Amino acid sequence: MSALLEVKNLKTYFVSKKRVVPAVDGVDITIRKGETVGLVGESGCGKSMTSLSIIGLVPSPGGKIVDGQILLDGVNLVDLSENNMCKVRGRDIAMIFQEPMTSLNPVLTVGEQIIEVIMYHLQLNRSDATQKAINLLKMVGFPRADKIIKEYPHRLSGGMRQRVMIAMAMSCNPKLLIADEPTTALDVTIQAQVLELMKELSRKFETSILLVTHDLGVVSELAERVIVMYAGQVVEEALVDDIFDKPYHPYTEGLIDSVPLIEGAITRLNSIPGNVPSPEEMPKGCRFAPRCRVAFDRCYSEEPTLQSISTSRFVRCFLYEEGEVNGCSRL
Amino acid sequence: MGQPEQKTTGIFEYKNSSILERKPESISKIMLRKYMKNKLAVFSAIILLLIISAAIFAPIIAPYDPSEQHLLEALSPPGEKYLLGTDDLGRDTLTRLLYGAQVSLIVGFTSVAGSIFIGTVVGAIAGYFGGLIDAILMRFVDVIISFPSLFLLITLVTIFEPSLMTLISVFALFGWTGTARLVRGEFLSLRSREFVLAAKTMGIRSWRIIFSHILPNAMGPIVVSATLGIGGVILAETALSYLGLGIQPPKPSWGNMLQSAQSLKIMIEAWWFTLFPGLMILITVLSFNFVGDGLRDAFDPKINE
Repeated sequence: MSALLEVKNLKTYFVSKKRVVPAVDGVDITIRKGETVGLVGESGCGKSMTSLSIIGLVPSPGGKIVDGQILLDGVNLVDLSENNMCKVRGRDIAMIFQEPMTSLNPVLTVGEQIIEVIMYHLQLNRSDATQKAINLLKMVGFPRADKIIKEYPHRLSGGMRQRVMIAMAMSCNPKLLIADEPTTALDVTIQAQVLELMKELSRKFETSILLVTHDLGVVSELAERVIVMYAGQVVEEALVDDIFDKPYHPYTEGLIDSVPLIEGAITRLNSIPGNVPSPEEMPKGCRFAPRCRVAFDRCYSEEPTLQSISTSRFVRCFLYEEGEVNGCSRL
Repeated sequence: MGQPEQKTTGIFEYKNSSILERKPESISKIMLRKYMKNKLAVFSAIILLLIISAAIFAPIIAPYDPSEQHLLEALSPPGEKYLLGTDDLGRDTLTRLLYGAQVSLIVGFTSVAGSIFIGTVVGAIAGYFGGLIDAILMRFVDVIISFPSLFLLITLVTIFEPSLMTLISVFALFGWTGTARLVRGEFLSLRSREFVLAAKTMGIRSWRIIFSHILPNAMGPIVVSATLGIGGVILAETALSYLGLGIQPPKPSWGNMLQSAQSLKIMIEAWWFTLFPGLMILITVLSFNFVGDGLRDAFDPKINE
């Protein structure tokens, strides 16, 4: 399978008169056609900024992609003009958000919002676009879609709105769907339905999904590969089974340990002490060192690089340098 | 939500959902219902409709010609022949009030339409793009607001000789600053809403986001300020006409009918001559204000039915 999206050494900085804040600091991501990749990390680790960089909507003024490439089918999106980028958005890359309650326009009907996108990208006339919108809504599970298109968002439940968002995002068969915390704001039962829907659509249309989330449960459900971000950098990358089986980076381990389990003895939930350092106060050496359980002297003075452990596995930690993989198992 | 049903495809469907059973209700219907709750606003709206239709049908309703003089019957008190009396040239007051309504309402509606248009475009662009564009446009607004406006109106009307067109243009060109500030404020808060980002990720272009996604969300305050603005313009036209700088006689306007109130003798001896135009101005402006208040409540989502 060839790579659909290749993000190379992406650096998105926020520049103000006083200081430079690196929100995304040299991130590499590769997504193949039809593949679902989970981008995981705590709040403030740069995962949302990475996804906004890919779709070319870094908040400005202030935010700017200062270095790196974002190749979609070989075309560098960073170099595209705003005009051309508008054509890519919605047609080649679409995005769905965490809050289905606020991501639909309250004064336009569901139909108007989907039809506008279809008319613009696929150059259909209004009646064809309306028919396509109805079909899309049927596809995401509204049997009486002809009624739904006349509804205003405030009359739909959270799960229904998220389905509408998915229908809109899928309207032009995008090559890549960026889902930023798509289920976080939903009830657990609705979460499962929405995940099932996304899985089904991605299989059917061979859409690649970049699943941005802090929820490892969602990742294990949907993703084939996982990229763990910490403080604007990738700290670990692995196949989803491998990472749950044996996380290498102490941070990944901490993330997995802090997921509550239903089975097993009732114990205190593990958590990683402290917070993600704010980008302007980045510690010297390894960025995770101050919160790391196994940090040693070198971690505080030198910055580790992303090491390749195998063809599908990368980790940014001194514990795994030069084949010392077995040197440190879960401490 | 109704009963979810699992289909074989694995995709869940909304069947028998109660949401689909209810009749779709548009936002405008909800607003109309809220508006109807405000009795004073409903009453004012009826009064305004009456005044507007009276103005439109003035040529049919009016018993005389507005400039037809009956010099022998000048300053007749209200009676059978002249329902609301006559003025110092023997012209029928009722007729002139009806034709004057035309002028006042035309000036009110068109100049507010103009100023709302300019103000909305300037405010929307400043609020949406922010940064340097915002700074430049808003400083320009500050400059215009700082002009002594009545003095400026008088000067401009004197230079361009008073006429309906001059009045409307002057009111439109200098009345938009409040709307611009209002719309800018709305856009500043709306542009960071998630649905705007969502529209951007779908490739919708800036001008469409501004005018077909954000603007409808800001319509409430704009409509309210337009309604209140019409009342203001009618008052301003009255003031200018009173000073002899507004609509020029013999064309009647409520303002220039009041001009004769400058003479105390006429005011005491022929009270009908000034009372009725004054009353019309009062009722009309008050009605516009009440309708504006009613609309404000109807647009406010925090006020529940």
